[in-house]
Amino acid sequence: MILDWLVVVLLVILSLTILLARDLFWVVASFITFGLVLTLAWSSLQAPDLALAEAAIGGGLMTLFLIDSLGFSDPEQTSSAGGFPITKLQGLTALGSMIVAVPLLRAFWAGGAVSPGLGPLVEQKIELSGVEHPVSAVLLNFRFFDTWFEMTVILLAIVALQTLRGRTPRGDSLPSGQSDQVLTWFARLLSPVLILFSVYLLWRGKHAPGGAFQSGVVLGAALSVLALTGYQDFLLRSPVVSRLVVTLGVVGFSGAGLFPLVLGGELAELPSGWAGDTILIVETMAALSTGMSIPYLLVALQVPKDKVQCEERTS
Amino acid sequence: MNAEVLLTAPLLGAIILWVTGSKKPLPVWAAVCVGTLFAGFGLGSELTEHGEPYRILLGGWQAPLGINLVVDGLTVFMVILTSLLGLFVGWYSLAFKHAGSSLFWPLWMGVWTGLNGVFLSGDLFNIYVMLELIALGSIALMVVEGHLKTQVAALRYLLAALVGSLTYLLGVALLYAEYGMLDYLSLGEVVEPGPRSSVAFGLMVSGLLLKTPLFPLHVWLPEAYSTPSPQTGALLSAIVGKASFYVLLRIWFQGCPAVPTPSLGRLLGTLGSVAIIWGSVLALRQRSLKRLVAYSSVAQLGYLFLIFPISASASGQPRWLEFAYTGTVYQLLAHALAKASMFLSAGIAVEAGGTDALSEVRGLAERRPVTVFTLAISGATLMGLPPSGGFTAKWLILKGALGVGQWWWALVLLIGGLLAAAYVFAVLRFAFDQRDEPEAVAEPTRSSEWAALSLALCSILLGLWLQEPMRLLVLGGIGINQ
Amino acid sequence: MSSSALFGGTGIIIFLVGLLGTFSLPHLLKKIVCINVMGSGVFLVLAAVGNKDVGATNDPVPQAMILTGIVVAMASSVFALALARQIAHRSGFWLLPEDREKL
Repeated sequence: MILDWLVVVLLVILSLTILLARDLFWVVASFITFGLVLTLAWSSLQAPDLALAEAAIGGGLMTLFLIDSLGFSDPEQTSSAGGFPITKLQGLTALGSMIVAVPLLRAFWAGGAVSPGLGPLVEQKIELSGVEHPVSAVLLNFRFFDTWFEMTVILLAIVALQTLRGRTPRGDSLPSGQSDQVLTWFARLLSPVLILFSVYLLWRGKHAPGGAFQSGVVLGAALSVLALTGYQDFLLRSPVVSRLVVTLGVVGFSGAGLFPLVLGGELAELPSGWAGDTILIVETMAALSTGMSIPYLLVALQVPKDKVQCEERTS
Repeated sequence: MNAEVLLTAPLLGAIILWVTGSKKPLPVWAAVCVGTLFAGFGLGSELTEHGEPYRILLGGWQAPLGINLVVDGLTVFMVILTSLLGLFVGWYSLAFKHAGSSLFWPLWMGVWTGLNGVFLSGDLFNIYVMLELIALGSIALMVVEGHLKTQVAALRYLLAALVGSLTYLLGVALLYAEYGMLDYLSLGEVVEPGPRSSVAFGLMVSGLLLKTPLFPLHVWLPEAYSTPSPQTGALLSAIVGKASFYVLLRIWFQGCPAVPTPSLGRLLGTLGSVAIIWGSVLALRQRSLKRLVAYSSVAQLGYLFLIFPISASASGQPRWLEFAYTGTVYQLLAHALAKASMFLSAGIAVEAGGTDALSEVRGLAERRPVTVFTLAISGATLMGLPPSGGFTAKWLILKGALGVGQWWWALVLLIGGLLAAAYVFAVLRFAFDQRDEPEAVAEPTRSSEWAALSLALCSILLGLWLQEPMRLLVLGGIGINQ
Repeated sequence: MSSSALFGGTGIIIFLVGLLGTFSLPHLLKKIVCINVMGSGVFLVLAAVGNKDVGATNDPVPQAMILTGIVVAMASSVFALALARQIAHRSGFWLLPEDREKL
């Protein structure tokens, strides 16, 4: 209980720091810490799946993207714009928010008992789902449709990022592989471990926290590390193939979703005998495509750093 | 079968076009258009067979455990509208001289998938995922052209969209906390007004109002609709904004019917009226054609909100609600078709004149008579001139309003119509002006003009065809029989 | 106070702090960070709803919703970030034009 209070207080303090800190660096640093403390919160709330995902994304990916963006500095004035001390208008809106907070908090606290929710129903039907872990059952069977389109969102984000890359179709290139010996050695050491771990997470998702997404993110980390240290060929050799891999997740879900129609069932009605195996196949495809998506995201975020102001600041 | 085609055809089309990096989208695009149009009409006939709205149990699971699709009259019209827009805007894009990026097609089909997803889905959280899909795709569509101004407008829109979605999601979370369900039809049967449900409802509505948008949350709109390419402007104004309004309709009338108070309805109606007047006045003051059309959207969206106060007084008098509701849906459809047509025409005008300045539209009647004719027809819908779809829509809303005794909306409709006439005639006046120095201008891409014209004609045809659609719309949907 | 109530209330507060930040902080990177904070707030509320006390079955649906939500929010954030970087690169500032005038 004390841990809960500690986590909560930390979260609030960190969020206020993000709001009030002038220096951009402090804002980003606070946010990264916020993500890590959030991982603790998920654990307290009995949501290990979330803790895994948060650690991977909040602690890993977003950290990477944000720090990368930090290096892209601009005039002192802009970086420290906003935050403490606040203007009158900002003070007023803050006051407004506090007033709005009251009915919101009251709604959550005073509204009577929280509904039991769908937990009992899930428990009832889980045997038919093909997996044992309730969160996986929900994601990959009961609410298959949601996850299908979540994968579509990732795919569309990647396509969207390509619009920012300019007209060269083969503009996919990563910062030149560092010829840093230590980094390369470390990458060679780390990547196989990460890949193995991702396979473990994938398989584990059936009966314990884990599953396609967490597995995909770890795989993505492995692929990113490889790509950043010179092993870029697998990404760049054929744009068509790498795009194909990125779409595997959506294709897998679409296939599994449409196939039951042939058998006379509804969309995404996984036949109960085969549900488990179908889910495993779909999850593997999803993990692969999520994994491939991460280096893609990295590539897409690379904006040429040749602006003069930038060079002045970083020297 | 039909619903499945509607959801997967655009998605698979997007994947095929993106993976192959194809520069020849015609066959895939044509297949998707034809497929979804057939599926849309097929869905309509399925609905008529059923005789009442029905569910499709995804995964074979019943709500609330699984996600269900819901099909009723409104669904059918929205998916058909989306297909028509896909067809004509796509035709325009293919025909238009300046070949856009090949990414336009996969992105648009991604948005298309999301749109059909929103229109079919019966699950509040699923709707969130689909709305995010739409937002992401739409904003990417905006930045394909690459101008800095457009990128700025796009980011502003993205930030607004994200804030809106998250606010909506918080509302869904609170609603789930109270009732443990996400299926809005099931929720409709149990939701009672109370601290949690009212706050949840308020949050959901606020989030959706930011995305639609409604005055005064519309600040991101004018740049967002006027800076990108005309095709994107057409798609954004015609259907992307309507998606969040659609969700608002669903939750207001079917998700939480007992929650909204008459004063909330009046508030939305008032804000809608302000939008109509404010938007139209600002449209008149614009000196750029595309910005004029964008501000006109702010105004025309306002008409959609009159249903809320009218419905509040219509309990026990379903006839008036039927009129107002059908009118609102017609306004949605007619405006979508007319506005899309206008944006496409604006694109043609800009190509012909070389600039977007309104004054440069001078002499357009000589060079692009078809386009000017198209502008006139789509203008008729915006003004509410018979026999356009816009007229039918406003007339129905008027009937509903007068029927429940809320005569003041009639004034708003009248003023709105007059102001719309003013800015439409402003454009047409310039178009018919003589151009002083006839200069050699780019040859029209003929086909693109016909695409724009077809959309405008659709908005007129809509006005002539009332009986059947009205029957379908009223088919047990939106609590009319309650 | 139960775990759920505690975290739920915190989620709401964090949501509001993030909302405030998104609107009042001019720097684009800060705005995007604040949107993420808003998202985390909503997720905390959802997780709190799904967390049941000893005896009752834990509700996996909110957790599934959050997982999906995290992915969707991440995808949108990354795109927003890339877009903001482009704007910063081309205009020289991490600011929207209306904010630039004020500074």
